This record gives sequence, C-alpha cells and structure tokens, in this order.
Amino acid sequence: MSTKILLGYASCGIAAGADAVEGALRTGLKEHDLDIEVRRVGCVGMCHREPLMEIHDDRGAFVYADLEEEDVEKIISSHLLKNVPYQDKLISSPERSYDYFHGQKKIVLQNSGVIDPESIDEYMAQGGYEALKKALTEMSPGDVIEEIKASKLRGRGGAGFPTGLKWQFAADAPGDKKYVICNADEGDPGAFMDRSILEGDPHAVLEGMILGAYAIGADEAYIYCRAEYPLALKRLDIGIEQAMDKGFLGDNICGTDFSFHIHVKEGAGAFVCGEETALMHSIEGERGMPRPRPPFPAQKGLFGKPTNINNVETWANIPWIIRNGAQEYASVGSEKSGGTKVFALAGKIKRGGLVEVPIGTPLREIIYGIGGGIDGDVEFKAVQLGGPSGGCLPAEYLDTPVDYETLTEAGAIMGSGGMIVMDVGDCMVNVARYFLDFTQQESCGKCTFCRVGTKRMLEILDRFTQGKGSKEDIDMLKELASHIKAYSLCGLGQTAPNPVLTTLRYFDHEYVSHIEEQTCPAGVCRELITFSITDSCVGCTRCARECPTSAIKGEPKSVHVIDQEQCIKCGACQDVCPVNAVEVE
Amino acid sequence: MSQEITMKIDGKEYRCAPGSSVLDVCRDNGIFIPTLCEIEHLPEPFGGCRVCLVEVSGPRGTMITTSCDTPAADGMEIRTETPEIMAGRRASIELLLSEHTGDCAAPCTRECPASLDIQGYLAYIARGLPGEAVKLIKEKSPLAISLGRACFAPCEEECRRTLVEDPISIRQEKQYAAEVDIESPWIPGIPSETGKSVGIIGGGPAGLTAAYFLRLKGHKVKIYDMMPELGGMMRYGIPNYRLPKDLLDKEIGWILDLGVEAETGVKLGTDIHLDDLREAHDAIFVATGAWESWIVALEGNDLPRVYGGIDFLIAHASGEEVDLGESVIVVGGGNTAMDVARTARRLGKEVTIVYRRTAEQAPASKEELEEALEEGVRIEFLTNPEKICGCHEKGVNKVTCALMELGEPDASGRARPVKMEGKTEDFQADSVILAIGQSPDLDTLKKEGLDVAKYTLAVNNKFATNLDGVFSAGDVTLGPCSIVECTGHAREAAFAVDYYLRGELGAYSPADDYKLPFGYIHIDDKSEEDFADWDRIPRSRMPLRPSQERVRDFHAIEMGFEHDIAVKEAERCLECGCLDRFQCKLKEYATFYGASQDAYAGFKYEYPLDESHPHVLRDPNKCVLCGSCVRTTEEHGEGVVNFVHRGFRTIVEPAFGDPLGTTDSALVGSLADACPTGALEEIQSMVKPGPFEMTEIGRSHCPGCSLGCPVSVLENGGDVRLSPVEGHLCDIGKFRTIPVPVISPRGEIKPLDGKVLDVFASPKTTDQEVEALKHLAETLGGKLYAEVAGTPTTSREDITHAEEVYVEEGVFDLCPVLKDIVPRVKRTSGDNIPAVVLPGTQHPSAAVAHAGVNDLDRFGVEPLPDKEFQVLLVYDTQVPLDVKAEYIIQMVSDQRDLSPKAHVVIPIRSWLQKEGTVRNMFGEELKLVPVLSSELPPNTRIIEGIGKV
Amino acid sequence: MMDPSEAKKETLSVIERYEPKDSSLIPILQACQKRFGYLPREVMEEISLYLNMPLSKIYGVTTFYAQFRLEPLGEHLVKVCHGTACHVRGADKINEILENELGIKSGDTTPCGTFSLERVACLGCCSLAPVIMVDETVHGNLDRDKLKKVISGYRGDGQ
Repeated sequence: MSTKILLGYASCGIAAGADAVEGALRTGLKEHDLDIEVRRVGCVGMCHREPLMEIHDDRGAFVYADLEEEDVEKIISSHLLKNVPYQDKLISSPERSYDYFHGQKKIVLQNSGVIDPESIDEYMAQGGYEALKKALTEMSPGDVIEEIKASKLRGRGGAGFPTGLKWQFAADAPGDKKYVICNADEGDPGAFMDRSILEGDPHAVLEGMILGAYAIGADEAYIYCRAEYPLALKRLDIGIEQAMDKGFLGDNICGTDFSFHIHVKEGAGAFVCGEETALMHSIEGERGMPRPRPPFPAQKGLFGKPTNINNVETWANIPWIIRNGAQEYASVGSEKSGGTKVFALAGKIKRGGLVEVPIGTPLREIIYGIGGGIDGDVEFKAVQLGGPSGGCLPAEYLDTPVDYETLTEAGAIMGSGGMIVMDVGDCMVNVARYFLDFTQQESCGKCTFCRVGTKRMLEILDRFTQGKGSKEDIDMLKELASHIKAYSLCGLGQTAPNPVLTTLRYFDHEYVSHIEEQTCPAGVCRELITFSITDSCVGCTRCARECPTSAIKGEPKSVHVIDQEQCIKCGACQDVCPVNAVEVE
Repeated sequence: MSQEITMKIDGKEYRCAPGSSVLDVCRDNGIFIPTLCEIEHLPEPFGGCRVCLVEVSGPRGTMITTSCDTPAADGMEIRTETPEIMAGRRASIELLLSEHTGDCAAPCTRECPASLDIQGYLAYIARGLPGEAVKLIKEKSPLAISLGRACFAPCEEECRRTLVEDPISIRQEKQYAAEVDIESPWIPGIPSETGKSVGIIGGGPAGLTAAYFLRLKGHKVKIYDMMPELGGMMRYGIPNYRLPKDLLDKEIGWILDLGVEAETGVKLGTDIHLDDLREAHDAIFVATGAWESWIVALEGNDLPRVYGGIDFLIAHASGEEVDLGESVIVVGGGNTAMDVARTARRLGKEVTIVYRRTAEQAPASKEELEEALEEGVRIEFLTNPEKICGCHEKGVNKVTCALMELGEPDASGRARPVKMEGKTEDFQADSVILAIGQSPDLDTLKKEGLDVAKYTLAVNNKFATNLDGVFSAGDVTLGPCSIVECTGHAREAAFAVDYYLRGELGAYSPADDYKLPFGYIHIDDKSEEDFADWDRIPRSRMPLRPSQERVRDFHAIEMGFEHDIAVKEAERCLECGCLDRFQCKLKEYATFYGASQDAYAGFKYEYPLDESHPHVLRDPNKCVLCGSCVRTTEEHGEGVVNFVHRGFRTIVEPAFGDPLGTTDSALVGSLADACPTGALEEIQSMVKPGPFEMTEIGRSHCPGCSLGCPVSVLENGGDVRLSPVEGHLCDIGKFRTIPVPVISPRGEIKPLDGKVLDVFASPKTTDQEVEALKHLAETLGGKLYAEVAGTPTTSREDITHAEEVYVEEGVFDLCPVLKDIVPRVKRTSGDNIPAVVLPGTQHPSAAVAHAGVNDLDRFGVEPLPDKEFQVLLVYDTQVPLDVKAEYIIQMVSDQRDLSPKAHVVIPIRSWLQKEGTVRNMFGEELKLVPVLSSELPPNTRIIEGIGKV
Repeated sequence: MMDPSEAKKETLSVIERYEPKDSSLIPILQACQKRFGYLPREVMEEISLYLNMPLSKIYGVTTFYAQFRLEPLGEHLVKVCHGTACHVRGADKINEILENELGIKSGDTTPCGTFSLERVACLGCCSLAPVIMVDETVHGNLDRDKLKKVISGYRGDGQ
C-alpha cells in the first residue's frame, strides 16, 4: 500500500489553520521530491485538535494534531523520510488509538474524514449509490417506505417524528407533483453536525434524498442550506453535478423512468426558517413566517404541492439503512428509536467536536468518556441540549440515556444535536437569558405570544441579571412561559420558554440568589459583581493601561486599586494581569 | 368520508361541511369567538393574533388551541368559555395591549366623574352642531345646563392642551351647547312602560339624574322632595349669580316633561316614611343629599349671628333674611365659602374670608377665588379662627385668629399649617359664617330603618342599602361632593335599580357601563416637548359682567360664549382620544375580558404618525400586526403595505417607510376598513373629527363607477360615511362619492321660445331619469347625449372564473375594486373601449367600464357632438369644458360639479336621496335606495317640470 | 447613490439569469447584494419591475432576513459569533473589546469605512470558541491579545 496523507479540510479545520498546514505540506513534499497523495477530507470529528493530518502507510494510520506550519517539516523529515513517527504531535497510531472514538458508532459520519467529499468515485468506492441501485432494481417505492419504517429512524431535526410514517403521508397524498426538501438551515447556535455532514459526505445526503423521492413519488427537490456554509454549498453543487453525470440524478435515473432534480437554495439568515412552513415560504420567495398547520406539508406544502421535509442528518442515514437493511439499523439504538445520533459537543469540555453515538448512550459517556470531561477539571454544572428549544440538565441527569422520550421528560429535547457543556463558572440565569434573547430576535413577529411574550420574558430575565427582579416576576415568567408554550403558532415559539423552564426547574436557587440577594453565584452578571485587586499585585501597571475607563489607579511597583464608581466590569484587568491579582466577587 | 360533519359546541350539536374551521362553524351559528386577524372571505387563516382560543376535545385528547386553524372534525367537542380559555384570550390581548400605544378615551373624558364624552361634544361644537353635542352629553347626564354653569371641571386639569398653553374651556363650551339647546331641548325617546315604579327621595342632582335614567328605561318615576322646589343644592346651595334659577327651572322642566312625577314640600321622617314608600313603589332611591352644616367646636360658636355656611345659603335662596350686621367673617376655603362670601357681598356687607391654609391649597376653584377678590371680598390666608368673641345679648363682635405657617406635609400630602407661636390677630365682625363642611342627616335615615356608616348612608357595591329594594347615591352616600360626581354616581346607581327591577341585580357590575369607559389603553407620559410643534392659541375666556356691576345684584355673572368663540375654542381640542374607539375590536375585547394594559408592561417602540394620506391616518403605535391590511392589499394585487423587520421590531408599513400618501393605490380606504384598531383609520370628512359611533341608516349602491358596489351608509350628526357591504369599497366610492349638497337654485329659467333643448346626462343617471330626460329632449326637438362606452356582454361569474382576462389600460383606475373580481389579469388589450374582455372567439364577451354606474348605451345615447347647442341641459355632472351653447341649464346634486358656465342651476336629489334602477358593467340591475331624506321633489318630477316651463 | 440608469443596467445584467417568478426573489436579492455589496433602493425598484412584485413585498423580505443590507458595508466585515459555545466562552467580552477597539457599536461601520461590526448567531466552529469571522476567514480560540493582533492585521498599517 502506498502512503497517502489525509488532511482535515472542513470549516473547523480551515478555521484552525488547515490552509497554512496544507501549503507547508505541499511545499515540503515538493522540496523533498516526495510523490505522496495528499487528500482533503471532511471533518473527522476531533475539532478540538484541528488542524489534523493523517498519514496512512503500510503500518497503518498515524494521526497528527494541533498542527502549526513549523510542525510540517518535522513530520516530513521524521515520519516520511525516516519512517520515525514525530512524537510531539502524534495522537494516534496503529499501536495507540485516540480514545475520543471509543464508544462512538459511525453510520452517518462513516465517510467523513475518510473520503474526499468532492469525489463521487471515492464515495462509490465506499459503497455509495449501491442503495439507490438496490432500491431501483429490487424494491418498490412502498418497500422503501416499509424499510424506513422498520428501521425506527426518527427525524433528526428536533421533534423526532418517525421518518417512514412521514414519507407514507406524502406518498399517500393525492397529486402528480410532489416535492422533497432537505432542511440544511441548521440554525441552533452550538450545532454544526449538518454542516460537517454536508462538507464531509455530501453524496450520502443526495443519495438519501433520491431514495426518498423515489419512495414518495417526487420529481423535484430543494436543499435549503444556510448561506453561512459556503463550503457545504460548494460541495453540494459539485456533488449534484457529479451525480447528474453518473446518471443518479436527472431524467431516467439508472435507466428507469424515475426522474428527479435537485436545486440548492441559499438561506438568507433566519433561524425560524428551520420550521417547515417558514422554510417553504422562504423558498417561495416570501418572508419566512410560519403558517398554521394543518394543512401539513405532506398534504399542501411547497407551491401548494405535497412535500416531504427532512433534515440533513436524517437524509444521510437513508442510504446506510437501505444498503445494510432495517434490521441492522434498528439493532443500533434504543427500543423506540433506531440508529445513531450525531452531537456537536462544545462548551467547557476538554475534547469538543463531532460525536456519533447509538441513541440511548448515557450523557456521562459522551461528556466524560468521549469528551474527556470538563475543561480545567472544574465542577460540571449543566449540559444544554437542543439549543434554543432545548433545556439545561444538571448533574443528576448525567446517567440519562440520550433518547427522545427521556430528554423530553427531563424538560430538554434531543433537538438537532447541539450539546453544550457548562461548568460552575456559568450562570444559568444568564444562559436562560441568552437563549431567550436569541429566540426573541429570531421570532418572525407574526404571532402575539412569540413576538410580544418572549420580549416580555426577556425583560424579566434582564431585570434578574441586573438584580432588579422580584418574586412576582418569577410567577409572571412562569405564567408567560406556559402561555407561550401552549398558544404560539409554531415550534419556535412553543419551545422558546424551554431553556427558562429547565433552568427554573433545576437551578431555582440561582434565580433566588439573583432576586433576593442580588448576587450572581457564578460571577457572570455584571451588575451583580465587583472586581478588586488583591495584595499579590506587583504593580506592573498593565491593568491600568488596559482599563478602558481609566478606573485603575496606582504607582508602579505598588498595589493598584479599582475605582468602583468608574469600573464598567469589562474584565480587561483580569485578562491582562500576569499574576492573577484581580478577583471577582 | 362523510358528506357532513357533526360536532358539539358548548354541549349543543352542530353540523357543517367538511373543510370548515371551528371558527367558521362558531361564526355561522352565532357563537362568539374573538379574533383580530381572521378575514372571513380569505381561504387561509392567518393565525397571528392567537385570540380565538377554544378548547377542543378530539381523538388527540383535550387541548386549548386556536379555532381559526383547527379544522372541524366529526365527533369533535368544543368548549368556548372555560376559565382557562378566558385566561388565554385575556393573556393574548394583554400582550397586544403591552405593545399598543394610544388613548382610547381622552384624559378629560377619563377624568370626568360622569364619563361625559368631552372630546366628542367639543368636536360637535367645533363643527357647529351644538345640538349634537347636547345629545352626547345627555347620554351621560341630564344636567347639561347646571354642569355648564357650575361644574368644577376636573376635566380641565387633565386637558393635554395645558402642555401647549392653556386647557380648553370645557365647562364654558358645555354651557354654550346646553344653552343653545334650552328653548327646544333634545329629548330622548322613552321605551314602552315596564309597569314598575320607583320612588326617589330627593330632587337634587342625584335624584334628578336617577329619575331621568330610570324613566329612559321605561319605569314610572316619582320624586319626593322636602323643599318647595326641585333642584336640591343646585337651587339652594349654589347662588343664582353662578347658576341662574330660570335656567335651572328649564332643566328640571324638560326632565319632568319626560313623565317624571314630583311632589315637593314633603320631608322624609316627617311627612313621608320609607315603609309607606316601599309599599307604593317597586324600588326606592334615596338621594337626600347632605344638608347639615358642620359647626366646629370653636369657642363662641353658639353666639347669635354665627351661622353654618350651607344654612345661610339655603336661607338666602329661600328668600329669608339673615341678620348679618355690617361685616361678616366667613371661615373656610372651599367653593361654599366663596359662595357664602360672594352672596354676603351682594347683600352689601364687608366680607372677610379667613382660611388656615394658603391660596394654592384652597379647595375652591381658582376662578372662584379670583372672582371673589374682584368683587371686593377680603381673604386672609394662613389665618385660623380660635375664638369667636361677643356676648349672647349683642352677638358676635370679633374673631380671634391664630396666624399660621406651613409645616411638614400631612396625610393628604399638603403642607400642614402650624400655629406661629404667640401670633394672633383680631378681626372685627358682626357675624360669622362657618363654611367648613356639611353632612347628611343620618338620624332621620336611621330612624327610617337604614344602616349608616360613619358619615354617610351605607350602600354596597351595587348601591343597595340594607333594605331590600332601597338604593342610594349622591351626597348622602358619598358625603358632600359636586354636581358632576353626583350625577355620575346616580346614573350608575340608576342602572343598578333597573337591574333590580328586572330581577337581575346579581348580574350588575358598575364597570359594565360606568367608570371604565375606554380607559384601558392610554399614554400618560406626555410632556410639553411632545407638543412643541403646535401653534399657541390662547384659551378663550368667558366674558363676565364687570365686577362693580355684578356685585350689586344676583344676576348671572357669566355672559356666555358667542357661537364663533365657542367654535374656535372647541377647535383647540387636540383630539387625544382614539377616533376609532367605537369600531376598535381590541378595545372591545379588552373590555370584555377585563384585560389590563399593564399586565405585561414593557418596552414599546414609538412611531411618528403618518398623516400624509388625505383620507387615511396611519398610526403604527396602535398596530397589532394582525396582517389584515397586508392581506387585503395583497388580495387587491397591490402592495401598499407589508410586514417589515421581524421579532418585536416588526411593523407594517409601505416600502422603505415611505409615507402612505405616496402610494398610487385607490384602495387605501379598504385597508382602514380591514384594520381592527385605529392603526389605519379613516379620516372623517368633517372639520373636526370626533370619536363618534356611526350607525347604519341604509344601503344602496355606489355610483362611482360601473361596478355599482353595494354600500352601507353610516351616519352621525349629519355626517355620512360609506362602508362596504361585502368585499371592498375603493377610495372613489368611500371618499369621493359622498355628495356635497347644492345650497340653492341660481338663475331663472326663461321660456324656451321654441329653441331646441338637448340633454347631456351623467352615468349616475337612473333608468327612470333617463326616460324622463329622453322624453324631455325629444319633446323639445333635441336629443339625449352621454359618454358612450358600450354594452356589456358578459357576466360577473364569467369574469371571475375566466382563465385569462384582457384589461384595457386605465380600467383599474376607473374601477379599482375590479382588481378583486379579476383574479388573474393576463394581458392589456389594445382596444379603445375601456373594457374587461374575456378571451375567446371572434366575438369576445366584454364587461364595459365607464366613469359612473349606469350603462346608458342601452338607451341609444350618442356622445356629445362638437356643435353649437341652443339650450343644453347638463344633468348631474360637470359642464364639459369645451362645450358651446347659447344657454346652459345645469341640474346638480353635488356642489363640486357646479359650473360658472351654467346660466341656470337647479338642485336635484343626490344618489343617496334618490330612488331608481341602474345597470352595471355586468348588466346587473341595481336598485338605488333613498337613504337620506330630501326636501326636493323626486328628480323625474323636476325634469317633467322643466318641460312645462 | 448610483445613477438610476446605470443601476438599472447593472441590475438587469445580474437578474436576467433568473426566471421572473416569485421564488426567484431571494436568489436575485442575494446576487444583487453580491454585486453591489448591499441593496440600494434603485436596485430593488428594478427587481420589483422585473418580477412584477410590489416594492413593499420586496422590502418586507429584505428586512426579514439577516443577510440583507440596505446600507453599504465597510471594507472588512467582522462577524462576532454569539453561538452558545462562544457565549459561554466569553463572546460578549469579545464583542465589547471589538467595540472599544474599533470605536463603533455592533451593526455600525467605522467612519473611515474600514470595518463593519456585526453580531451573528453561530458560525458553527464551536470547538474553537470564541470565534470571529473577518470577511471569509474564521479566527478562533481568541483572547484579548490575539483579537487585537487579528484586527491590526486587517488595518494594513500593522498598528
């Protein structure tokens, strides 16, 4: 086997400096006259260690991480020229694998980080488009739907509706013209699974959509993708072109009379367009305002035609299921829900990145097993699941298996898969405020409860974080939350109070501190904290120079003092102090 | 699937067709569900307002959800009025209120204890309609005259005009209107008799008010009064120079003329007793007032020539002489003290008022204080009587007073006067009148079996006393107060009595009608800055008789406003209250659900008013984002406004925030029709708009174009407004077709002397008029001409369902509402006929548009030829600019059509006054209905008359 | 502001590639913004004619989506990520430092037109939090010093 080099080239890798590493690598190889294949691959999941480089030689795979330009030459001279792995940045080798992947099960991400996402041949070499051929030759559309039903696949976009059943509705709806939509408007702050899938394995999504269209009888599709994901958009365009060339897309697919066309629509920046009816309005050229359901999209969707919408991850599961069979898929996961779920693990975690685990894996295994625990080894406080529609779960829930039912019971939701870990330095009132601020800004403005209700809730939370809240405010907050949940027009409003409700449920004492004692136990809420300089100050004057309001006084080489009247609590002093002499109370 | 759906709503079974929403079913069956965003004729619900909540039980369990987007299903059970639903609806309304800014009622009206619609009556006065103003006042109180003369006008203190310069002279305006009404007062209709009777004890402001409103409910009413004449304190407590008794007599007179009986000179406890009255009547209303003077515990208060203030006034009013000597000390700083002092002054006495607080703290009105001083009354402030000196033989000779200074604030928040140590002053006086307060005669009431509280008669929140069927209001339950407070209080109580007489007292709640008229949504945080741009117009002052003259008699001192002054003063009104408050659904629901505007108070955006459109005012502060205007303008195929931004910042406005007036749409008025609040409000044609409730007086068809849309004619105070019966009405119809009456004929019809008479008729002409005109022209050797357009060959039905429709350019300008009827305009035809043409074979069918409603082509008319006419009769339209004629007769129904070229002008009935048939662009025959009356003979008779000259 | 006839010509050259139907609106707006840097009124009026769509509707759509701008941008667009991970790792502070450093508030452009500063929901680089994106480049794992270095890099004067 000849040596080849895989370079992590998803957005996270690029952001971390993959371009510079690649440049150095290509220059180095040229200088040393080495003819080694360098392949750009998608995200392998270890975003926390990007830029990553994987060298495959006859001994196996060696993974180098946290690369900087200067490391490249060392790797070339040591590993490539002398066959001696360069130990400084080596995190995984045939002898010693990186435990980040222990406990993970790769179905959706099987190709991500492995194949060149811009090559349909590499996708096909991994068994890509086999499922499509199988379905077109061996299965009726009804068979495909039955297979998906049997797989117990549920929508990975949030609510977890059984995918097969959804397809059935669209298939049963009368009409010649039907649409399929891929919701790639991944908007939850803290979620990037869909982007990684599109960047790492776009053909899996395309193949899934083609299979879905075949099953429900659609001939046209839209992929509604965030404009903030330029690389994903580019790879989708390339993928569609390649699939057209190979005859997997277009008219008379694989020589059958099944024809199917996919268009890519760029979203224009509106979280609410993750909601099905809003998304369709957006494709139609309207403001992305949801409309009441019924009629459901399966009856009356895009341009008034029956439409089936699934999100990126859901579609990416489909080829695997058809190829390997529903039984195999259902055997992974929990009783009510088959397969795996991809999570975007981030926040105060040692090893953040993309994680794919069987549904039902306990939170502890993900956070401590895969993620390696809390950054800085401080105390865990909460994990936020499901983004602005989800909730914050405390330590008592760490052994909760992650599936749709248990999370909903706990007040959170599975959501699209954002998993943000928080430690004792995070204020839960502030976090609740953060999410509400988000939904409030993203509310489409159509319905009263969401437009005005979330604004009023936010104002109450603002009062809390400023130490101006009252006990009556808590009651009003709860009352508003229950009205908004019950009476809002769409899912955005109906779930908007969740982060507030779970924090009220599990971190009630933090609210009490803010209201009754006017203190922020985590030391986050500015109006409730004070900065001061301890005696360990060495008088280096850095803080005084950095302070934007010149609130810090002191002679060089003597202890400095903060004038509390002038202090705006920006924390600049704390950031720059070389001896950690700035304290927060 | 079954053809019909059966479902239960509030326990009753209903059937409906599949595809109906729960809201549809409720609406079709008259079950009330509130909604702000649902537009009945549009197929899809909008689902924005979230007010139409109901409880739905179906296969998926029971839940509260919106009814507009819930499809009716077989076996479904709906409940529309559970407490949870009410709470949900209220919450959504409260959230809407929290982002809604605007005054429902103006501050003056909110402040008025009798809830008089002040803004409304000022608007009528400004428009020169004092009679209408009085009508509005009499909705809330029969005492327009007394209030106009003697109200203490708390409204003026709240008047926002104060932030510009001075408050409106509200009381004086009322006085003007009431006294215009005096000779032939407007009298409301009395419904059929209920057979119940109410005995009212006391004929003062409260008793008279109760009598009036109970009579208006059809009850028999009898007033018993202890004094020789009715009027109570208005007669015996308020001196003649303030409230002249001849005026009061007239006020009482017309109330009695409603059929109110009165017996005077009978005193409760002496001449009559409650038990007997309860026997004689179905209910009793105690309004005996507060007639006892307070005499303070002051040394010397038992000396001769020491009197109670009210006692003195009553004695004087009754014609008794009171021995005052030459100089009088009046103690007190209220209006009674002023009345006493000024009365004594008019009796030629030296009068000094001593009052222990300052001028600013005195409860008497500033006006009264000033007028008293002008009349030579001395007032000593910060002076507190400590001892009345004199002897029982000769009576009073002086009053020793302590001099005071201001100290710490007391419970009322006013700085407390405290004695300056050792400083006193003696005032020489022959008599002392203690005008410091009065109270009801509680002893008598107790003896009659009534429970009393500390200072007043005890009533519950339904105005009921401890005795069944005995109610009370006014001074006797409130303690001494003003006319306006009494009349307001008594009105509310009268309604309680009415509920009682109907056996429904339990259902009565004061808020129903009285205290919270529309004060739910208001802005209190206005300041002078907000009114910086207004022109300063000084307040009109009431002309008073010169003080030297008036102090010599008891005649009225106020000379009243002249008509012009009254109009000018009323025009100063800032129109704070929402003009749409009688049409506003948000207000209606807020009232119904007891929603509070402060429940979820928080940040609101402040938007400037958009006054750029001549007929529609846009106030985004009142917008509830129901989307009705956006969907309506979309329905027209236009986009006058749309949603802009998102989240809490969302607003509905034209592109780039352009002023509404820059739109070239002719359907802006229909957006105001669609708006459930005052965010888009039709500006009334009147000089001064008011928050008036318009009532439908009839229906006819709009003559503005060849569609002939059905219109509902609304009227108030002679002002007419048009509103669509179904669908929409364009701006031509709404704003341009209301005729301006032609005042009088002009010129003289000379005998024709054999000259030829031709006629040029407008397309507003009815078939009957056309026949008469044709006959006239033919008889006189001429012809009938009109603008020719063509005769329709297609139906509305065909046009609506046509796949493709050709529309000549300009047709939509002529007939804007056609945009709703022609859903898909495909192409513009190159034809010369303004037409909507269906595509088709060699003979396309067409509807023909012209600038008026009637298709005159059917009568074989020709276009006006270019020739010199001998005599031309121009009928109900403008005289064509370039027409040549020796002699032009113009018959006009709208002043705007008047032409100086006409030698003779003959007024005729307008389309709102005439009867007849017309045929529209689809060949449909429409009947014009004479909605407004006219003194003119029918137009056909006038036409015939011409022929006879 | 653009010369109207110029704007018309330019706009047409951009939008002619799209079918004149409602669903082309957002792609057309995106293309025009790419071409002009923002959406001038003249351009939107031209789109209104091309699509036979009321201007108010186009304006409504434009103001609904965060992507569209009605004002021209600075040379460099600095987007501060306010995703959850960035939030818990101090995005507010990053924002504040940038506001101080550039002397403008979020949503504004520096007077000289060099920088525009903007808050965005999530850039999807949560593992590198806190992050900002300058033009097309993401900068992650920021602290005060690193941030200042990044910005001075774009100032071009090496300050």
